[in-house]
Amino acid sequence: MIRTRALSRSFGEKKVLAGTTLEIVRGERVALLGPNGSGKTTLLRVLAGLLMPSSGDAWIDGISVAREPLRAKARLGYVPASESGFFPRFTGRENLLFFAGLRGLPPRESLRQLERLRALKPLESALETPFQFASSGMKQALCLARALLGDPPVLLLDEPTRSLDPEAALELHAFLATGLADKTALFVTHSTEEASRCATRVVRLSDLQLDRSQASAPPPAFESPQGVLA
Amino acid sequence: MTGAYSFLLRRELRDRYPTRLAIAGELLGLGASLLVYAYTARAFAPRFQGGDYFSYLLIGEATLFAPLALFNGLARSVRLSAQTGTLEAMLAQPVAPWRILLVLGGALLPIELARALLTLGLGALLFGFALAPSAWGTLLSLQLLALPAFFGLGLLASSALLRFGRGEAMLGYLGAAAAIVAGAYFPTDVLPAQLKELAAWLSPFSLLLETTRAAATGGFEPGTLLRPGAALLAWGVLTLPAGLLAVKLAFARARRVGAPFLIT
Repeated sequence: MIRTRALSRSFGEKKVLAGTTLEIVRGERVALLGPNGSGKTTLLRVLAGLLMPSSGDAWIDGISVAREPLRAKARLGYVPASESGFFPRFTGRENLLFFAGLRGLPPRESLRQLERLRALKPLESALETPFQFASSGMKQALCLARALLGDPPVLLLDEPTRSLDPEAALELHAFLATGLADKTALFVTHSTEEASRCATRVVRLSDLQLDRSQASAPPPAFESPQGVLA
Repeated sequence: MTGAYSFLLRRELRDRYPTRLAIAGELLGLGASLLVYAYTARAFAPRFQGGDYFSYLLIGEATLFAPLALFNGLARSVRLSAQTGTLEAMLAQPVAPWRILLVLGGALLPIELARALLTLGLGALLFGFALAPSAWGTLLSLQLLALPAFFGLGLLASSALLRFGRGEAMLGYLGAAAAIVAGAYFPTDVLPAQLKELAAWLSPFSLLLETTRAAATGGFEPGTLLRPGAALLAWGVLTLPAGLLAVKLAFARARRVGAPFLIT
């Protein structure tokens, strides 16, 4: 479902990703850990089709993100690291309907999907609030809702609970773990607790580099994340 | 994309006219411009060889609203989108970057065409600007025929902004210079020979101005619209593909280089 092979990305002299190889099968929710600056966000941006790899390639559902970015983007939803990217004078609903239109969803289908996404609690109030007055939690919910528009099978989430209070974070964890059961997801986090709550597998970016095979055995703390959820 | 287009049109309206006071300000500014044109025309009328100087100024101003909006305004929209992060959010969607720019540019057009109509209408209402009823349609047709050419120029300008990360002010100067040299405010006959040549070279601007003035003053048979119309379209055939290619290259470069869109 998500695959990278010998994926490298440099910014000038600085090599951020060095031969990253990763494979995520359908239905897996993988937490990606690593220190700041290790390339987690860069990996997600490459997978989202926003950055070209310097070498190697990545595939979403078998589609190369380097060669067919539009087709790949149609199969994924991306939650970026920043909460910006919305039109400040417009409500959450208006913003989401715009992005749904851009994604090619017919208006009626867009409205139907928005109704379904109300399950994401902070979204309820975010829908009617102009984005400029939305709280961080609302903005985060809008980012997630935007990624879910069009019901893409793959989700890429960059620190999805970064600016949430503990209660809201727990709600989002529950949503990620149960509401997205049919999705394949790769999410970046700094929290081992979050990883163990939401992921079916945890990988460290350093273990994926230089063509080494991906972290086959998760660290002991993450051995049975499903158990935590149960 | 229709929903996205109407949203961006509403965004443009809301950004420009967030309050009734802003609308009043726009009307006031328009009225002030017309007043300046009327008195300038009155002062210089005896020495102006081209007929009614007020009409000359009025048509020059109104004709270039939409073309200049595409040339400068699209680049401005791109810069604002980059700064608010909406450009990247749009690029993360499965839609080609050039389509995003076309929608951004298209959202400017109804407002600029309405401003042009309002300018001419106020000119007629307050200062006796006379335009034959049949000429309104011709003027609108000319604007539509010129769209591809100016869309192309706007795409070229925006891709330059994306490529270099700066230059919006320069594009503003270029647009203003193009308008002046093309004869928006005075006939190009008074220009030095080299500038006159440049005016001819800036053909989409001068071609649109000349044809519009001819249509407005009645010295224009409907059939003769074909030739300048075809010339305007030919400019579109030239600039639109060039603009689309430039945009494609600019976005491909941004994706390759990995620099965020920092446009100052």
